[in-house]
Amino acid sequence: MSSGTPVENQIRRLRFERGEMTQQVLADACSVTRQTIIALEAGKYAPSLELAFRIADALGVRIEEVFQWSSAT
Amino acid sequence: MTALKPRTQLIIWLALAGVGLASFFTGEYRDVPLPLGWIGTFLFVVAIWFSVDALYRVPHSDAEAQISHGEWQAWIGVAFVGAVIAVSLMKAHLFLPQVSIRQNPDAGAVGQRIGTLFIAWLVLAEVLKQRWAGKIIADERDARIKLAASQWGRGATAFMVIGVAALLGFSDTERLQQFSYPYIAQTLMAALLVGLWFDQLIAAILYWRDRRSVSE
Repeated sequence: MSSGTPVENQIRRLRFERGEMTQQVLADACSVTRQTIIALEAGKYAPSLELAFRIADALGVRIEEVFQWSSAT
Repeated sequence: MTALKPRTQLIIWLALAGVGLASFFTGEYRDVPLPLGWIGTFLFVVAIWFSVDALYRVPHSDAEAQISHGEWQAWIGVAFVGAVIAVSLMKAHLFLPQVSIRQNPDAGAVGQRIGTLFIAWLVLAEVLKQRWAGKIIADERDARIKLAASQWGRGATAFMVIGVAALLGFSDTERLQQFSYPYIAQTLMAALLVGLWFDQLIAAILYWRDRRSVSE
């Protein structure tokens, strides 16, 4: 659960581009705990497909703008 | 107590919880005309209650804010189930007489203590849940941690039960006759408790490891 994941994400950058949305606000919008957002931003957790869509929806972007596959990991 | 800083209050309440737990375990051995065991239980529960209250008034550092509801519950579970296992092992000899537990007041008292600990655990878990009222307390990440922990818990339970079965199966008849049915029942209960404790411990470790790896 704490190992790195090949799924990279732009959550932190997209949060800041949206008026410095806090981790808690994003967590509430996606119905997850803040700890999950922290783990996602740190690249320590790969979300389920449903959560990935919910995060993209909360940030108002397409899923591929938030998550990318990193084959180098 | 209210004049003190929340952090100081937290330390005092935790120290009192420690005194309560020590009284709970050693009360009956002291030559004092007071039910120290029960007073210890009461002190432990009250002190833990106020510790949680003080904890929430301590200004949150960023590291503290990363501790989730699930991790708190897991560490509290480790403490309570550990205490129950300790009581079970320390008092196991009281189950040796070949009489029913109903006819064995010492064994009955142990059962009451274990019951008190479980009730205290449930009360504390409910208090914690109320503290998180309105917030999301678990999601898919928690579910994955709980799944991994429960697999370890099941493994530990199976290992313990097989261990007890092997112990009984390979014991001499003369030695088996020394063990009463309540004692064997107590041993099986302890095996199940070890499984539960392992479940809580692995969940706590996985949460802690997750949190630590994120903060690094």
